[in-house]
Amino acid sequence: MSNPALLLDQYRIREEPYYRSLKDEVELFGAAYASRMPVMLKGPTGCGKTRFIEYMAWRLGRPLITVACHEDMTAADLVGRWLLDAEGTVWSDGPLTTAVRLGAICYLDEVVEARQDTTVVIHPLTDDRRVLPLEKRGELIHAHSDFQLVISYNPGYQSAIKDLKESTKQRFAALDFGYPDRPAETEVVSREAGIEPDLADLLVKIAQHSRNLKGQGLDEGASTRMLVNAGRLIGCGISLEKACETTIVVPLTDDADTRNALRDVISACA
Amino acid sequence: MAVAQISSLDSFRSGRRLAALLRGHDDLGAAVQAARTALHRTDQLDHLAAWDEAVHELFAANLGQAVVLGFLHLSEQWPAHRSIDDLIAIGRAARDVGRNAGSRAAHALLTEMSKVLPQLASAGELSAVLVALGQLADVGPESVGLALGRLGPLLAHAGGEDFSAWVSAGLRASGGRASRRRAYFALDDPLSARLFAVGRTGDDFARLEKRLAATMLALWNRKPRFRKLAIAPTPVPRRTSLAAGLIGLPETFPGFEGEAADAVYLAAVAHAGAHLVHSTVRFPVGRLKALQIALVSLIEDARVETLALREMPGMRRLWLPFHSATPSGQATAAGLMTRLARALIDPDYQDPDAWVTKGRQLFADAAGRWTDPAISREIGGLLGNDIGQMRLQFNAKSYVVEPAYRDDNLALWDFGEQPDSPTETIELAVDSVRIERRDDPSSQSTDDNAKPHETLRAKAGAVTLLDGFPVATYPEWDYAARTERADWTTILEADAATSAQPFDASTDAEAMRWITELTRDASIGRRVRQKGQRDGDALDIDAAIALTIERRTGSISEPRVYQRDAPGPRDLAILLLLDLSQSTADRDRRGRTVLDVERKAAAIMASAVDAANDAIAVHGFSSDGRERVRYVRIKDFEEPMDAVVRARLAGLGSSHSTRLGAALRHAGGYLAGRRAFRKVLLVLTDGEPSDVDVPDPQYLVEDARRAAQQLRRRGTDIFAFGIGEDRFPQLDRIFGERYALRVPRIEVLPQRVMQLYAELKK
Ligand SMILES: Nc1ncnc2c1ncn2[C@@H]1O[C@H](COP(=O)(O)OP(=O)(O)OP(=O)(O)O)[C@@H](O)[C@H]1O
Ligand SMILES: [Mg+2]
Repeated sequence: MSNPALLLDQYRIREEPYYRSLKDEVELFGAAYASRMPVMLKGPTGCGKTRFIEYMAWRLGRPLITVACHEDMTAADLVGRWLLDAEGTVWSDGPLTTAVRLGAICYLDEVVEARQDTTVVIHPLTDDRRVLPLEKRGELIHAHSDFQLVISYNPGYQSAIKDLKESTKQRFAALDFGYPDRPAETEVVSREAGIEPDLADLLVKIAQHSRNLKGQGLDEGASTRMLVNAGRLIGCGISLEKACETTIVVPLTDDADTRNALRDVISACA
Repeated sequence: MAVAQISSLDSFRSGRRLAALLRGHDDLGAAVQAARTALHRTDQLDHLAAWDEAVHELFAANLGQAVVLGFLHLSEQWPAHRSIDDLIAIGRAARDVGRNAGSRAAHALLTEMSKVLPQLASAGELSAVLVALGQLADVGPESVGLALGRLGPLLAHAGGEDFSAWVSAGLRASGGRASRRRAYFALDDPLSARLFAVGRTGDDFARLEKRLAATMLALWNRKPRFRKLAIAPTPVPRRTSLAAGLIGLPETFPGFEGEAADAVYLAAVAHAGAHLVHSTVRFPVGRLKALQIALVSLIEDARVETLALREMPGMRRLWLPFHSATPSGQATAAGLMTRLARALIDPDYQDPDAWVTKGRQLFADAAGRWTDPAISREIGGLLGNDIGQMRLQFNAKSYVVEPAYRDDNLALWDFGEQPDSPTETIELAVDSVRIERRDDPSSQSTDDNAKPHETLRAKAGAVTLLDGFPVATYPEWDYAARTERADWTTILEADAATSAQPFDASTDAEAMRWITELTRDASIGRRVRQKGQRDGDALDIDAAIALTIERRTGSISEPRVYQRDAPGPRDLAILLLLDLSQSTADRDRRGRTVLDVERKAAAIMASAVDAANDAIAVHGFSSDGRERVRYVRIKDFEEPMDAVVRARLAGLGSSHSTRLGAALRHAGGYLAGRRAFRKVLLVLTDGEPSDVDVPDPQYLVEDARRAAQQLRRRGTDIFAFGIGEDRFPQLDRIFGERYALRVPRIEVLPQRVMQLYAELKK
């Protein structure tokens, strides 16, 4: 796919994603994009960061290239590598390089999970230079004027041990995402799962109680995503208890006491 | 076939030998015959020779006829389905135990084993018990009898491994002292009692505690501090108590077992939470009578439950089953009150009684003010007057809050400063309080949890100081004279005292979280991916491509195209040295002591380091002059991070001063004996060195500095954490700027320590 327009096209978001704005994050992000400022989205898993960036990409009319980072990911996975074909070697751009060349928003999800060397490649991209050196290829790419780098970062379980380097952190403007407040979260769950607001509210209440256990048996409480999942099962005729068991209790923890506490919450709220 | 023949021949021969040996001991000879005949029937002929051998050994051990007969008797009764190997193991154990602990112990072992055999179904469990007894006989022969006496009771609710764990914890916790061992194995020691209670169903509280804590936190966002209330032999049943920020729960609710027990504890915790959140003021007792106090409390119970139900309607299912009052029955004050209690939270309950109906009405009318505790005073007061006019008896002494899940409600009341005030009303009020208080003296003696922290700790501190033994002397550096004073300080090593009171319920959970985080981090406890290897378990794509390119361009290079996972960073030996001087008992603004956070940091770190397969020891020190530098080993390198170590951490106390240099030298000695890639001494302290016999503050600083430098020269890394808001200007001087870390907010100490560990692993 050497035609850049075609390549970019597949990353374009055509329909408006549903996003319930929580505070002024849409406006803030818009302003950051206007000066192509790198942005970091902070917040627990499943609270809507991905949905937000999809929405913003749609709103700004930019293609969105998402990379889920993991611990075995190396710089080559982001930037690209030489491959072999019948004629010889060919260079294949990695997703970051594609975004830089063609002017997309590149979203690196959970960037701290990646190896240290990957965070280094984003440094020259996120300061005034806006360049990406491809060492293996001996090329220096100047970023397309529409390019923007966005990363997500969950401060919860990284804590002190695994943290972004100070020099990385300070390059980004940060938007703090928490779980939405109860009415907003109810709206999201009701709409995303297609269930009655009353039922959505009950799920949200359960989730809020489960979040009290953060750091005390749970890494995180139930996320909005989990509630949407629970709601969908209930929509298919599964009982509340079963649905919560399957989408909340069992995924969250293997500890018998903590599971029981979650079940206690579910039965107390319902 | 041939094998069987040979072995039966063997057994024939060994039988002959045994018979020859026993000639002259006719009764033994007859018993051997009987046992042999019985064992023949088990169809394990090939084991008989070994059995003969075991009898022989037992006989030769000179433990007396009774022991041999005991074994023969056991053999005669031996179940046919059970391997004779197990029987032989018991015989050998009896011999070994007898050698160390005497023939009585050996005999007791045989008797006990014959009783508990069915409970030790697997060979593994049996051998766990036998090995434990062997160790005990070796180290603490005087306690074998005691431990054997507990074997049966323990196996009633737990397994052989649990017995073994109980024994080995006892050996470690009593630190070589026979008197302490005896106390331990007589179950006269809280740690012992706790380990012994594993798996026991009698203690519902212990079984449910963790779950209840989590439920409480999830439901009410309050982190509970539970306390177990011993069941006292009083006619008035125990109720939950909410005094002093603690949630006291009875160790069982008599009459509730199994699922019913779960249900009543849950209901109790939900009710307690409703109070903690909604009972925001304490009512002054003032001139109220006991009946009025009881009634105001009852309305308050209904009020907080009603508020809770507005948010969490499902709790009604938790509480209602316990409300079993019915309109029938005698119209006593107490009877009417249980009916009112039901009427107020059970909308379907029908009760024709005028007083109950009035109470219901008053409560319903106050719906707009349910969030205001004052309504409980008002309504309770009115209803109390009515009861008075109805001339119904109310016996404050036998009154107990119903249903069982509700607490005693004492925490709702402010009894003022002088409970001995002469006025009659106050006496009455206090009387109603005594209902619950009077069993307290007995519970104090049986229930260590009830004792205030401070005295316990002070006691532990005093005992250990007395118990220290001189183990080493060290020189000290006199900076003014520029000389080293030889043998100037004496280290007294003391056994760490244990306390069964958990020092921080959250530590386990927190430690687990840290450990997970640590292992999640690729660099710790995990394997490292090495690329560009000559062989390995996966292809290194980048290297393979590079190689192919090179080949095509004609150059020849080494085929290093594999990657493999290699063991992670090299191993560490860490010694965590805790400052136990008096100042570590000081509290910060939020009431935490430095010692508390030191403990917590130690517990978290030890668990994490254990999990990452590094070696960690936790030691502590304080000093009272140069002749008395007290040093306790809370956890040695080889010890697992377990209940005993936790109990020792809990038993630590703060006392005296900080002669840092001597402690550093002694700790350095322990590290020197370790083989590890990197040796690290980690000092947690809250102040600068000082001691009673040293007027010049700089003196001990300079000595500690010298000690640290010497250790460093010998290859030990030293880091120090200065805990608390002091500036510690001298910490840099002692340890060097880069190695002196400050932790002004004491609560983050565990994080800081773990962070350092993570750094060290890199
Ligand atoms: N504000 C919101 N508006 C619309 N939907 C939302 C919102 N917040 C959460 N959701 C719902 O929650 C789901 C999970 O959100 P999302 O995938 O964006 O989480 P995330 O924060 O990116 O999580 P992770 O960190 O695990 O990637 C979405 O699919 C969507 O259904
Ligand atoms: Mg109460």
